[in-house]
Amino acid sequence: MVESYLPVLILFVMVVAFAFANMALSELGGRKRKNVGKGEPYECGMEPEGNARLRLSIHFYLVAVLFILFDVESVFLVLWAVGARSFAETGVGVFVFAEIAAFVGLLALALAYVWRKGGLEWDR
Amino acid sequence: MANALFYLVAALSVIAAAGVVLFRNPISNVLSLLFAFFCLATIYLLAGFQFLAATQILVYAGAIMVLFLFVIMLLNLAPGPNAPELERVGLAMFLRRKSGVTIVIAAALLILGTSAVLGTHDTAVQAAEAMPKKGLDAITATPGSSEGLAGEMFGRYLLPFEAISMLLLATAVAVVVLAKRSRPENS
Amino acid sequence: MNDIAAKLGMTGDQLEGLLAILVRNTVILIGVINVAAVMTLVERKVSAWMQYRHGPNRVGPWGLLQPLADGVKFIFKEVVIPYGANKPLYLLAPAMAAVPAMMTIAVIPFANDVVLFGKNWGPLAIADIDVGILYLLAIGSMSVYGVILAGWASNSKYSLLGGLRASAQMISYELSMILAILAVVALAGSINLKEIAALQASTGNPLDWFFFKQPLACFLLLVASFAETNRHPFDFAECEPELVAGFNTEYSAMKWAIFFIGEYSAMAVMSALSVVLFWGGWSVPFMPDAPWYLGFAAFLAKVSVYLFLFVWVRWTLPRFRFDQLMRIGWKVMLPLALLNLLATGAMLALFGPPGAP
Repeated sequence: MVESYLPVLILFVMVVAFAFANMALSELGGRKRKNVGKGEPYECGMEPEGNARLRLSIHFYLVAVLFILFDVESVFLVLWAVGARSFAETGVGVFVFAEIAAFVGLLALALAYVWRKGGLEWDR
Repeated sequence: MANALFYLVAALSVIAAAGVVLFRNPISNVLSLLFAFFCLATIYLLAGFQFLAATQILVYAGAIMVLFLFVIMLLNLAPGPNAPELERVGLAMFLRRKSGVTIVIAAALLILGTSAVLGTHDTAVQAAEAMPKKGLDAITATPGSSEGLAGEMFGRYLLPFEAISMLLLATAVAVVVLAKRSRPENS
Repeated sequence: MNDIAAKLGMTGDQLEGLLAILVRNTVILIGVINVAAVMTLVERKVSAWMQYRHGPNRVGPWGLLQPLADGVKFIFKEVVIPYGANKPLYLLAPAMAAVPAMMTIAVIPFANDVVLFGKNWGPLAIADIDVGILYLLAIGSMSVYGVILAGWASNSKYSLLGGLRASAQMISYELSMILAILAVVALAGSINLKEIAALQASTGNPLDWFFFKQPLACFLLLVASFAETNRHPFDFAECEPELVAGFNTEYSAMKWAIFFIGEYSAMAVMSALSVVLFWGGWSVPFMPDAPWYLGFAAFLAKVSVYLFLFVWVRWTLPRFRFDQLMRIGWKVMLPLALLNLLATGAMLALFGPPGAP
């Protein structure tokens, strides 16, 4: 089983080497002539104003937490989806589906709650 | 081969975990944690738990670490002119103020964790014996494909499984309350 | 052969297996990088064609050597690192964007068992992993970090805004993508991509392709893959009227190119994934026993259609607004994907699995 991941490991080494080798190549090949204007962050020619590391909107936090909720849900759903056929074949299909429907139903309730509270509105 | 890989990855994961607390830039801390999760996933993989390894990366590395990054950017902890002063982490911090509480909490957690491990020791031993091979050689075996796990989850552990959805629902409610609290109506 | 193996402390079969892996990895990796290079030309040519102009036509016949010229140019461009950039993270970001995209190619089965030199070398895929789809989703979800780090490390407001938008968009659409894929998984009863492809290819009847059982999931996956790869109509990562070039504003030379190799690789992987899940993978219509090279050709043809679709959509649909994008993702795509999955599950539970082929 672990052996089937050996090609992946080799691929990883190859891909990382590819990415960094290319970046090093342009580091060597490119000319270097520094001046003050070049190194400034690009703001369409204006003088950069203030710190660029702005504080971000609370919406991003909301979206990230919701993402975690549904990501966890989808991991459980993977377990069910893989077995769905064999559950149906062994006659416990309806029972397990009822479990899943209850599980997804509660998560759908969560989505509906967030929706109603305006958590999905980006412009408010 | 697998044994050598295990020790290598285990050492890397410890180094990465140290990086989580030792780097000064919070974004670097998150990246160290990300790397530590990858090392853990590799260890799970070596132990034969493919599904667990994939889930570890999908949920922890792919979702929870994104949240961490967002929170760090939200709080603007990054070094810069406006950043709040961060304390240098190290031994000196523990020897200074409030260290008593920290040490007590850490000790309590350690005792709790140890007793939990000791309490379930017999079960763990039985489970380990049920595995195809003993010791570190067992890491090349295949204890759980995801299909077997599905049967366990929807059969024996039905109730905990359904309870998780309640937990997730509660989280959704909590986050809306937190994020939307100070918003005035229609503005 | 056996002598060399003995010197390395391996048996002949082990050495052969290792060499086969190296050759397969190299061929597939170079193939993907070439697809990325050719796509830059195709993108410009098709765009030109749709806008009634010529597009690149100076370098080589019909501009065919343009990607090569671009590559050389990238090497000799000046590397500019902006003041105030966090240098290690700034240098790490392009690799963190491109590596996951190129790693996901590992589980895509391109063709059935390859028979060459009178030996069966197994299916044309880098790795045949039991949890293939999960691997793809897990590694694919890592590409968020490249974008968000590039935005943060550059110390530029445009970059930061672009990176944050792109990351929020990617995580929002990832959910619909996973749920759409799960509908197929439920029907196939496997998360091994090779098995899913083989299931559709076994009879040679195109009606066995999962598109005809899951058209909605196929559409959802298509829309989600536009968003996941930051392509039109959801290219908020680099929405040029608002954010100049988004998260890669401050990148130049090969670092910039690496982002784009990553983006085009991700496009190729998403296309290949859709083909495997919904269009039968290497299945040649009405030829269940087609040799592997025909199957491979069929696979490439199907992927090309998808890649063309990516470019076509770019010049057909206008860009959405960011709040519209989030609204579609959470209020349309996610409920639809959930309903689709539940309906599939209900059908399976009530009427049993679809008739064995």
